Amino acid sequence: MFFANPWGLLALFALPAIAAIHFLRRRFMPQRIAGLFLWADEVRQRPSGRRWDRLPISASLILELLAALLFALLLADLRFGKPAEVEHLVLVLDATASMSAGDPAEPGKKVRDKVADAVLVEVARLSAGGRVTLLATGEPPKALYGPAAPAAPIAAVRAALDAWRPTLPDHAPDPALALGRQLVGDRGHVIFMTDRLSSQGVVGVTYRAFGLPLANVGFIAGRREADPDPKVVAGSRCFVRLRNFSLAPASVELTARTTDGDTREVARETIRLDGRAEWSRTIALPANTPAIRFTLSDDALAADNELILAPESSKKVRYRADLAPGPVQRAIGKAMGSIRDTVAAAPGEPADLVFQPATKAIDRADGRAWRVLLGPVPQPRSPRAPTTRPEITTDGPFTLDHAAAVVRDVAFEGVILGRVGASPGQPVAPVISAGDRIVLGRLTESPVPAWLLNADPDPASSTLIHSEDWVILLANLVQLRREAMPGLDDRNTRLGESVSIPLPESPAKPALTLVPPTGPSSDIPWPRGDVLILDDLASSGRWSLRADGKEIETFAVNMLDERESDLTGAASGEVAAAQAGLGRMLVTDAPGRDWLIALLIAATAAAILGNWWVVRQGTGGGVTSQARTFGPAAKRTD
Amino acid sequence: MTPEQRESRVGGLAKVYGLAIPRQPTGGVIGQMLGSAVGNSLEFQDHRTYSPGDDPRHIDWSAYARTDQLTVRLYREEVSPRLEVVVDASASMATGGKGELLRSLLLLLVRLADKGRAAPVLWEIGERIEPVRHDLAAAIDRLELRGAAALAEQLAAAPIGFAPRSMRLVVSDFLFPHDADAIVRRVADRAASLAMVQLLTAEEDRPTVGRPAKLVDVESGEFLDVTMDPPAVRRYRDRLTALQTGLARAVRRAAGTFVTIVDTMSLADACRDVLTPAGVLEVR
Repeated sequence: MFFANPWGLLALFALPAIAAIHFLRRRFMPQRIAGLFLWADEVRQRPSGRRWDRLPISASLILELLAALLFALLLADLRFGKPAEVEHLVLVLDATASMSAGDPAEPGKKVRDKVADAVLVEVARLSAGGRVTLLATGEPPKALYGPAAPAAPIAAVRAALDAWRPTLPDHAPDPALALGRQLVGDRGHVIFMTDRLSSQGVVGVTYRAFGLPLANVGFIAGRREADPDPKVVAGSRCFVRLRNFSLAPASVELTARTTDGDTREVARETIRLDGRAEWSRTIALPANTPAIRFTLSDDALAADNELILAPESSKKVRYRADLAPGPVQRAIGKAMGSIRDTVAAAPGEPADLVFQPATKAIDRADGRAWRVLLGPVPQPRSPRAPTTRPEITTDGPFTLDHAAAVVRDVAFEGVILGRVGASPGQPVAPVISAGDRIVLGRLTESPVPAWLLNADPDPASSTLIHSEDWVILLANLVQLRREAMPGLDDRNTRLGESVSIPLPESPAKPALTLVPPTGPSSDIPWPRGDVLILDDLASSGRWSLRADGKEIETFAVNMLDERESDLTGAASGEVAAAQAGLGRMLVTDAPGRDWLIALLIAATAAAILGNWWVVRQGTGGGVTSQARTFGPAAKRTD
Repeated sequence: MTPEQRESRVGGLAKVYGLAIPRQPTGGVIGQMLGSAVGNSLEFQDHRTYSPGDDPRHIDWSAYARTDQLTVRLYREEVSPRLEVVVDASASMATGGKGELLRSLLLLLVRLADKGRAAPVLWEIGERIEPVRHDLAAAIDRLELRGAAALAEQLAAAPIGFAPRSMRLVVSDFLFPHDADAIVRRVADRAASLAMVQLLTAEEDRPTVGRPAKLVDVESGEFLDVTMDPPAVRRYRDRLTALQTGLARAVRRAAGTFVTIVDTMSLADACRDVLTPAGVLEVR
């Protein structure tokens, strides 16, 4: 007999506590009497103070001690038998997509199937009482079975293996191996089941590979353009690229079908590829074509034979220049016209990006539109600062905060800026500075995102609008604005990439539902900041996001992982651990017995109820709130 | 017990028992009862030699003629006895079954006094001392046993206007420090008879040996931690016996009677086994 949770025995401290309570309580059991003086000598006769009296054994005391003892046994998880050392087998399974590869000539014998068979053999080898932990690689690793779960029945292990689908892109197995080694500690080692062999042994980890070098052709890239303005161009284009990863020539059939209800065939072509050759094609699509599914004829790896390209919808940025007609206004119109997916808004029309003089206050009528304030901020005059620093003209050197996306690829070389103001007059986070003067910055206390160009862009005093930095600056601003607008920028992503979805403004903030290509949906709370970031998309295919049951976004996830598609490096064999553990033993205990737990719970409850009854009856010496008087009123018979 | 139930039970006992009239002269105006002493009634009792001061009307002149001795005829005295019951109304009298036994005993005494045309007076010795002369049954129902002062203190504090040669009966538990002689002197002064009845609960009479207890005095609120082991209980019993012996001795000196009634006894048992043998009651 032993205790699985010895800390629970701390509850035994309740026993002396209960005894002490009973011992002390009896001192204070009040009894209302007459003639106290007849007892007075009893106290005065004790020169040494209180006597050490025998603890009276009452029913309440016995029941309370019994309840505490049983409760302590429950907490300590009483077990019968002796702790034993059993084998603990930790198996780490490679969860990359290449594990789904298999020789087309041997259907049903993919690498994952061989791994599953090998796992079952290892588990069956375990002695009685053995424990198994199955981990799948990934970031973070995933426990498929266990940790340290009983190896029997083996059907449970088989069920866990059946549910295992290696679909992840290429990733390092190190986190899973580290976790496995942590689980076995110094007394065991880990077996890593994969399809490639390690070039050298790893401490505590045995590499066991089940892969075969196989020829494979797969998609390595795919992109779809947003449907342009139908008034300009009818339809769009998509681009696909595939590669033959083997040295031998290959012939595959490419098929493209729509994914809507009638699954129309868009393209079909037989492609012959030399060894290690690539093939790419741009395919024109009619307007409003739904998502296209490209498939290749079967080969060793099915995961890279499918490519889904969802229609991209560009988020057009509407801009408005609330500036006096002149060269600056024209320069803005010209630059914005060269940036894709921008639309000029007429004066008074709503816009996403508004250019306005810095001298003009931000008009809240434009709602959440971003503002670009142009020109130096006039210096306020006050009695405390009667003199102001003059505006200057500078050609640098300029200091750029390259961490800010708005100055990405901006150099500001050779630019001359005129009328650079001394102080913006309000809190600004500088992005471009010249000496102690802020040239470009973001207003930090503005109710809407706003940027300040603290110089006069007029060509009469500056060369900015004639520099290439001008267009790049505006393009970056447009891109930032576009990213902040609701909806996905790119609806076709790679497996393993995170997807960031700006959500539309919704005061109700309903619960979101993420619908994967296969498997059950999952509910997601509305994210803070109205931007949903999905970074654990583990399967390729078409995903959708719903709010209140209505689809608000859809996107495609494709494998497009050259390292996983290249099966020529796959191998089989075993590389022993560089430093094997002392064994693979796990100190475990005898299994808990449900009937014993139920018995302890029932006995504890019975003791508690019994004590409650005894105390309620006032016969067990328990604490009663009312004082007792000597001698109950006798029943009279007259 | 409701007043009606108490009245019913006491009524049955009142038919069986009567107050025992003392042999000493009783006070009060000349009444209808024949006293134990000689008096002025028409019922001849005896002869005796004349003594100066005897009523000349009672000289037996015919006997003087025959014997030349002045002889007076003695007649039984017609008395109207008075019963004065002194009740300890302190809080200690409410412990256990003492309160109910006290009320029943008082009601029986009142009924017996009424039956014997002995005007009863109830002296409640509680927070204050007040005599009750009318509607005694209602006064017994209303009797409040919550006084904090001991009977001895109250008796010593102020003289009580007892009627001379009245029958006195004191009911208390006497569980307070006292000088028995002083109490008896107070209540026996010019009394025709004296009976002191001690009411105790069974636990006060014989405490149960058991676990230690915090004994709280119901009147003073003082408390003591006492281990109620056999030696302690035995010492308590010794002290209680000494208390009772002292009271009995003092009462006996005053030609009175001291009895103890435990609340486990019924009133009928107390009348039959305690009060009648002690001469407080007599069977009619």
